[in-house]
Formats: sequence, structure tokens, C-alpha cells
Amino acid sequence: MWMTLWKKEWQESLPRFGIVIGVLLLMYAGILTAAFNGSALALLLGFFAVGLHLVLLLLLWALSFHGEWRSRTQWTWLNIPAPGWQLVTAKLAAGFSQYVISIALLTAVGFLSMRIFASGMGAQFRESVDVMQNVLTGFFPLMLLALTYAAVFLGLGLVFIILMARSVKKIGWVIGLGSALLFSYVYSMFNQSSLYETLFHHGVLFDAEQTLQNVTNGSMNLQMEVEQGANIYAGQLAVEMLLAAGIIALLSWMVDRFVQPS
Amino acid sequence: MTNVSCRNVSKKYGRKEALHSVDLTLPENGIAGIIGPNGSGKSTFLKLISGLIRPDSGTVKINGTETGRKSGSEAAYLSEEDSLYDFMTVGKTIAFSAGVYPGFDRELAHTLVEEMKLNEKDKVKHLSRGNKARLKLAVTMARKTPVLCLDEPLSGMDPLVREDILRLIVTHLDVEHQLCLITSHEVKELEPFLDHVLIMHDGQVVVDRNVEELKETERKSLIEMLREVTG
Repeated sequence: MWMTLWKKEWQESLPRFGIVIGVLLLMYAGILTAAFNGSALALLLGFFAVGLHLVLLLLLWALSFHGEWRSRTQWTWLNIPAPGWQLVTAKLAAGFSQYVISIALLTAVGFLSMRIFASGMGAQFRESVDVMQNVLTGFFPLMLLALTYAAVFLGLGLVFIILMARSVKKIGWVIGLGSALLFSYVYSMFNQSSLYETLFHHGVLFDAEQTLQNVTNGSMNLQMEVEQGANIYAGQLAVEMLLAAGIIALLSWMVDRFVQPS
Repeated sequence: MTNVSCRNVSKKYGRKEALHSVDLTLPENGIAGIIGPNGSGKSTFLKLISGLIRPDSGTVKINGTETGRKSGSEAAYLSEEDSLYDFMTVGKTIAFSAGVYPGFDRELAHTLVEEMKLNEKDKVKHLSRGNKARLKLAVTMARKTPVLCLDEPLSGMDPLVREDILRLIVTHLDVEHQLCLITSHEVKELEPFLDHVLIMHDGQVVVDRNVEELKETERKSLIEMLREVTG
């Protein structure tokens, strides 16, 4: 049943994903052209493309959930005798697979434009461009994870608000927004606490300081203080994934118990 | 045989009470019409039975199990609205339904669609309103659930579509094992097909009778009864 649901979500969202990819491809063409001409516009467009991915999941998931009510198919969707987690995760998985495709494309364009940009540089800049390229390559896992983390939690937050609005008439969205903001604040406080560090900063998966030294060694005497927070720990990754799973469980419970079709 | 029972069921939308202390056991099979003026609680009653909404108080049970969001395997709900996925074709709608509804009779769905001269390759968004209604009903009938909740299936349809829909229900309903609940304002048209009738008024069931018995004892048509009790 889950695969049928996922397939339906994928096919339904394909036209809007096509539009997103179309817009991104135009942007990527701009990035590559600018990189070829050695223009800094490539960097600006690159930042914009990354920013777009921050809200991409939010956009795809929100349209998918809200779309059931907009197209009046909520009667069909909610009458499917599948557990809530299947209805919810089919939508989330379809959106996330599109996000992964888009991120893969962004990564390819990013590295390609960097190479084009570097090859067009004069010898006096070549060395610093190479270092920059190495830093970006070395820090790619950290950047990818940070971007995906932010995109996933922003998206889940909005889905929570949408489902809350469909559970409690009139003021549901206010309650949803309020509780989402409150939870983010409380969790970010906990996230920065020494208790969090003691509990979850175990098993270094990505050592930012080491990576920086590795990628700059031999080319420049670049020394930077890297904050502890820039590392990735297995414990931290596990707890954040558990948190996402907890939010998904909450959304599924809401669909089964509180969400109203009208 | 199916047992659908409502015990002191009440439902409010904001301050407006849509259902007030409904307490009844529905017939085990056959076609039951739920009639009444606008806002009398007919749709709310169907949505509660299919588990799409929850009562504020009281319980609704199908075969002893309280209804809820996952009651779709017991009660199929057909909405008055265009609730089909527009991007699918007729054939894909059947395939999707077969994938998500346990016990879905794919063969019956294809037969019904063919009977109604719908092209399986046509996209739902390109179908006329009448054909969308026909497809919706074909899919609902093929779910083969013990209870079918058809919310205004005749509303806004031309006479040909209405005839098609009623014929489809009468021909393909398993009257021995299935209970079909239909809300409608087309009382005259529906009357000949009904085994049982519920007349609703101001959120309450004011008449709950076997149609033959009612006709014999009251010697009135349903529309006359409706006028009398809703005054």
C-alpha cells in the first residue's frame, strides 16, 4: 500500500517539481555562464540557489498536504484505510526524493562552475582559488548536512502547522505556529547547553578543524579557529534523526486522531 | 451481515449542533435512504459512520468496533464533491484504488467503467461532471465494504446520470451482505429503490422505518412524510 501511495504522491507532485527544476536550471545556466566569464555573479546566484533549497522541502511538503484540501481530495485521502504514518511518510518521502535529485544537480553545477571559474583565473589568483575549492570540497558534507537539517525541520514545522489548522477550527494555525516557535526556541536552548554536549557530542564523524588543516596544508599557512559546533557527531546525528522521527510520529497521530476533512 | 450502531451521538460545528443525541441501530443490509432538509445533519451522520469525523459525545460502531480514521475498510465514503485525483486517468484511478483499498474488486471496477462507456485512457480532469460521478461510484462500489456511505450521489446530475447511478447501485450492491446509505434530495426518484428510510430534522432522526411497512401503515409517499415531520 505504501508504494502505491508514494507513487501517487510522486506523480501528483511531478508538474510542480518540473517547474522548480526548470527555474533552477535557468539559474544554473546563469551560474555557469557567469563562472565562464569569471564574474562574481556566479557566487551570488550560487548562494541564491542554496537558499532556495533551504525552503524547497517546505514548499513541496506544504503543497502536497495542503493540496489534498485545495483539490477537495481529502475525502478520498482520509478514507484510505492505511495507518496515518503511511499517508504522511508517502508524502514526505516523495518530496524528499525530489529534494535529493535537486541537491545532486546543485552539487554537480556547484563543482563544475568552481572548476570553470578556477580555470579562467590568472596564475596570481590560481593558488587562492585552489584553496577555496579545496575548502568547499572538504566542507561539503558539513554544508550538505546543515542545509538538509534546516530544510527538513522547516518543512516538518510547516506540515505541523497545516495539520494543526485542519485539526482545530479557526485558531488551529495560530496554535500550530505558536507551539512550533516555542518548541524551536526551547530546543535551540537545549541544543546549545552543556548538557546536550555531554549527552550527544560523541563519536566524531566530521572533524572541522582537521578537515581545514588537511585541505589547506602545503598551499597556504592558513590557521583558523574552528568552533566545536562545526563538528558532526554520531550521537548528535542520532538524536536529531530521532527528533525528526518523533515529529513524523506526531504528524501521523494527528492524521489518525484529529485532522478533519471539512 | 453488518451491525452499525449509534449511541447518543452528538456533533457540533462551532456553536451549531449538527447532530443531537442520535441513538439507533441501522438495518443490517439493503438500501437505506437518509432524507431531510438542508442542514438537518444527513452528511454529518454519514461522515461519522465512515469515521471521517469524530462525535463530540457518544459512539458509532461498525460490527462492534468504534469508527475512526481507518474505518475505510468497513465503510466506503463517496463525497458529494469531486474527490477524484484529477491528474490520474480512469485506468490509473482503478489501479490506485486497487493498491490502497484492501479487497478492492478490480475486475468489477473495469466492468462498471466499461458498462458506463468511460475510456480508461481519459484523464479524470477531462471528464464531464456526470462521468466523474459515474467513475466515483464505480470505484466506491468496487471497494466491496460492508457499508457504503453515498453522500448526495445524485446532486446536480442530469436525469440520465441519475438513472445510471441508481441502476449501478441496485445492480451491483450485494443486498444480502452490504448496507448502502444514501443521502439525497431526489426523494421521489430514490423512493422505489429504498428498503429503509431515515428522516432527519434539526440534527435528530425523526423517522427510522422500513419503507414497505411505512407505506402500508401510513399510506403516504416519502415526500409527504417528509413534509409532515419537518413541517
